[in-house]
Amino acid sequence: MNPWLRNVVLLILMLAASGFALALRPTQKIADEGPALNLEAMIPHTFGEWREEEQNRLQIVDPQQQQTIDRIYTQILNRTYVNAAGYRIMLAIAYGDDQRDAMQAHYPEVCYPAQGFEVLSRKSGSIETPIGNIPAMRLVTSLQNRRLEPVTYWVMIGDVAITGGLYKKLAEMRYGLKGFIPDGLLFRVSSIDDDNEHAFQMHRLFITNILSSVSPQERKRISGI
Amino acid sequence: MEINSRTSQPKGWPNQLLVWLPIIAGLIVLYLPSLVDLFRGIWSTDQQAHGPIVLAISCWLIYRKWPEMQRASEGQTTSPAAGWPIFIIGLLLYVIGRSQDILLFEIGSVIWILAAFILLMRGSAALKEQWFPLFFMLFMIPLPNAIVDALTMPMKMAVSYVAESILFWANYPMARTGVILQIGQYKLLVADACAGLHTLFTLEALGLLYLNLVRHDSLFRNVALAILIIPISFTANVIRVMVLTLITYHYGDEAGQGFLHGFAGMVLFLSALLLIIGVDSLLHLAVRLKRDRATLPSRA
Repeated sequence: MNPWLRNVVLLILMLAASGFALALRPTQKIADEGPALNLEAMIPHTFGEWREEEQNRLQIVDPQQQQTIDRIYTQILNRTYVNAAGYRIMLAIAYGDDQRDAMQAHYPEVCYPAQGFEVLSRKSGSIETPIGNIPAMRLVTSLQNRRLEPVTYWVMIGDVAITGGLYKKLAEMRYGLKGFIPDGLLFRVSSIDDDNEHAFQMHRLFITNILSSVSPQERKRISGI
Repeated sequence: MEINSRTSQPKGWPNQLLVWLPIIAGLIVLYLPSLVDLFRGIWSTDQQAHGPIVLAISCWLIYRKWPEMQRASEGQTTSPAAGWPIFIIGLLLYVIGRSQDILLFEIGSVIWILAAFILLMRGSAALKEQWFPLFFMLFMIPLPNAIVDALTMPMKMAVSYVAESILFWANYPMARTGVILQIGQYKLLVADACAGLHTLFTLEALGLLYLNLVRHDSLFRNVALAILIIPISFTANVIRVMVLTLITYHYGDEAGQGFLHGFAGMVLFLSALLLIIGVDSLLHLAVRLKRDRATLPSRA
């Protein structure tokens, strides 16, 4: 082929690729459609057999960490609930309206070790609720072998619950190729309990209780079911 | 191609430049927006600050190899059968990566596209000459956060552990919780940027560049050094964390976080470079000793 012709063909293909990339870029934030999410108002202070325990312990805030948190998440909810038997469960929900590469949820298996916790085991599974199943990760963490803290969590990309990794990117692309920027949410439940199986059972009950106390639309947004 | 090889040098040169013009224009259209985004985004962060340096070095390496590439590919046939598919793959990666914000694909595509150009313009002999600069560009591709986080954490843990053990052994009041080091009244968090995968990458890049510039004939020495760079970078990281800890302990928190933090970064690279050169000299010695021993019996 004539080098001039060939190079012009190459140029045209490159220009086309550049145009395609621009046209396929998602611009519409899902978070801007429909009612805004308000975690504080959405999650009730009492539900089922659980009631919120007032937190008055001293919180030490690392300014650098706080800055990162503010950059990644638009809303954060941290609460401790206790049931009649005195079993405590910590609930943390972090919500960000744009979860693409540079600003994405930090997974507990990364955050916990950074704080001095060890992740002893890590299993993906699903939480069975009467309404449906949620894919979730179950971690057992411990702080210097003194206290065991089993963690159940999942990540929402738009309306899809995932356990992280490649699934996250695929879920994002499913939105992205339609022109949407999905929002993201990390739903984490943990308790200090030496009996892992018991703890995960309590997490499941707690999650089932929460899901049946919010509206179906809200349930969809926080659990995908 | 034939026109180029037959015209004499003074006439051929501007003509050749003109032929490359559409390619250069295309590259600018494709990658100028990406570069702007990178410089505004992750290349301005501590973790990926090596990106622009790697890019600059890659460009310089390509430029340096250019005459050799021209000579090697003179009169050779081009390879359109390989070049076009690679070009198309590169463009697809670019479109997906750029539109869906997958930097791995967006920036990775540049290697495919440049390789395709070389194949289409000058053929496979030219690509063989330019393999190192293209390979070197791998180090400027930002990896997905999930992968980096998963690999960085164990490394940070190990660096913190070793730094703590050594300083504790040297009778400093040290304690460690995860990646949080405590010395005296000060608490230091070993951040991603301090001991992360990126520093390992940067140092691996530095080491490979050194190998390429020094040009050993011994394959053993090349491979051994490329592998040894991993423990070397680990050691350099430990040194850096220890230096920072000691600066903080002796001169206070402000010194540790201020100018001397940057200085500790220099210490990292200097110690890594010295270690690389030191290990390389040792390998050189080992190779020579082995050769001497191999030749001795024949003399006897």
